[in-house]
Amino acid sequence: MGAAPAHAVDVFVEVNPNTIQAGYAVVIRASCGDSVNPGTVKSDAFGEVTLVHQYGFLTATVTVPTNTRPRGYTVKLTCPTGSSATTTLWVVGMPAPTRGPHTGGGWLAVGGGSDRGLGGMTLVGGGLVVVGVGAGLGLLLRRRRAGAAR
Amino acid sequence: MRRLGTPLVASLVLTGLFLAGLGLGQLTGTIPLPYLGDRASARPTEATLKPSWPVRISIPAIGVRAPVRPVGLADDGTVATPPLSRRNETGWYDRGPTPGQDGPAIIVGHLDTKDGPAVFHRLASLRPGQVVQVTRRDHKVVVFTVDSVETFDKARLPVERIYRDFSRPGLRLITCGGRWVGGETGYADNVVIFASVKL
Repeated sequence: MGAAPAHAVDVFVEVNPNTIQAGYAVVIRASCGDSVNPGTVKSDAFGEVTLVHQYGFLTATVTVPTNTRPRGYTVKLTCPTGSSATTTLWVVGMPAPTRGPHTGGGWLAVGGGSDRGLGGMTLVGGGLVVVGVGAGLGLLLRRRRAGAAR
Repeated sequence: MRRLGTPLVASLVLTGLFLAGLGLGQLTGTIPLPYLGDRASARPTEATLKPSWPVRISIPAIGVRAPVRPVGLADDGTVATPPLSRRNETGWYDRGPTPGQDGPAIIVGHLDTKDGPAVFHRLASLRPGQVVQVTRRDHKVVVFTVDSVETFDKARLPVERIYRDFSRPGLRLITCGGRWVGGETGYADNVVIFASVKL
């Protein structure tokens, strides 16, 4: 039937999530096209695993060992037919400190906080000046009118 | 002049009152000024990206536009922060995922320095639904949406929620909050913004 090239498109492998903390698990989802036999997946991040059929795909759940060095790892799918596909799994080794970062110098706490930005102060000041100018002009005009009426 | 007089006076007084009111709103934190800049090329990208270091962060709702530089761990085991002298700089925790990869990218910034406000001084006023844009070295802009704004005792951060959710591309913005206790602690609390990429 000569349909082999078209089937090559159906061969893929993906890892979810694509980034993981060492010591945690990821799910592999793959397809070997319409091949009946399952493929295997190999990576330096978790070794070798044989996939099982599930929900129309080939899947496996693997755990990345705690001591895995942080970097990107190639994940390679090999199908019984000999075709293959690859993706990348990024492993991070992220310490998770319970204690929060020191993100303050204290200025807002020692009274700096009463000034909530120059913008506000300028607006209030400027606004009051404009009101003053308006009121003054108003008074001046009234006086002139009174003078003219006399 | 005379014919123009009354409307001029009225408009001056009204404008002045309006400006003063806007200023009062600013001072009390009830009316944030609209943010006008930085709407350049903020195009959302696909959900999950390869690693690429963040270089800029922009939070239009609170007027933040700041450089991002990598930080590691400090001597006491906490996530390190940029030097206090660089008040507008933020730090990306370089042991974790980059923004746009699956997992929580962590960006810290100062609330204040010793003599003035710093880059994240209005972080606590962010609200769910507002956006945070992070530009990466590969020129991709990742758009995160705020899910929640929370405050925790600095000595007891919820480790799983902050550092261990790899189910999607996430972002955690961390600054200081709460009471000033000084000494090694500084502020008693941390304000944490939980954000994620909406599909």
